[in-house]
Amino acid sequence: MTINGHYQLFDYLDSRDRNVMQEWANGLPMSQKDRSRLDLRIDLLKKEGNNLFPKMLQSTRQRHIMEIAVNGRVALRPLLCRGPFAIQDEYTFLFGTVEQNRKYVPRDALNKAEAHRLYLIAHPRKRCKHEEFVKEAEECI
Amino acid sequence: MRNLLKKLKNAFNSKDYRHGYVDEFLNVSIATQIKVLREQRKWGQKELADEVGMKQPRISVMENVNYSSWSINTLRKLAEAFDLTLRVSFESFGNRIKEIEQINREALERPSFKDDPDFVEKEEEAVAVSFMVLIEANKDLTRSNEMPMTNLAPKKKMSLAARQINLPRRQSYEAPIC
Repeated sequence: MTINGHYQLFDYLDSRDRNVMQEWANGLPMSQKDRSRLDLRIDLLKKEGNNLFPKMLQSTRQRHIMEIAVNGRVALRPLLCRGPFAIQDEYTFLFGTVEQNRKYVPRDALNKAEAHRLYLIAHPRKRCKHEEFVKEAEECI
Repeated sequence: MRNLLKKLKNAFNSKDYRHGYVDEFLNVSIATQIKVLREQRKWGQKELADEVGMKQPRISVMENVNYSSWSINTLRKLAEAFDLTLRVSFESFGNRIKEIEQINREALERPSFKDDPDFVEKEEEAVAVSFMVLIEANKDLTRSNEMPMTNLAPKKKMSLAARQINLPRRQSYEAPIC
């Protein structure tokens, strides 16, 4: 169920309970503009889900995995899925990647995202509420 | 609303960040509004393309939040196809944030000219005007010691009211003169 009409967003936690999306975002040479674009997409996803904005979430070769395509100096491609528990009301970020020459970096990003999704289904505690990237914005290049 | 503003306050101290954020919203909101307006009119992409004089794949490209190469001319053509007017204006960041917080399907829908409430003469309004005419005519008749119109048959009332405001007589309103 959405909270205050907002969708719930979660981040996958790795084997050491580190937030994979924060690790990814903090490790990228992301400019302020790139990060702001990503933040806007996530704010809108939280507000309206995938119902209103056309092609906000794009499907990938992996059936359950979708990407948010943010094009800037770096082509950011956070990978996520619906649910996987409350399919209608929540999204979980599974893996962060970038696109270079029309290919994900790392190349097996989709497989990793799917592996995280399956692991999460088996271990529902391996995720936390999505943490805003905006906290780190001042540290951007 | 204030949640988003509160969240963005620090980040917006960076000029690059705030401009990147609202520029991205501009692209997203235009693409979304085109789709919302098309669906409001129950058109497919092909129908919109025909209205604008473009090909359907071009509409598909524009109805994508990742599209960013907008031109005023294209937007003007789309506005004409939807029978709307295009507004391009400069805005403060605070107002833009309010807009972001309030965005939803209803906020993006617009009626075309033929459904514009400011231009459509409502039936109720016409009835209200007729009623006011009747009341005024009745007052005048009462003042001149004639029979109040409340006692008259409806056809007679209309006929007298029409004469009070010098409307041309119509066959259907005509009644025997007393």
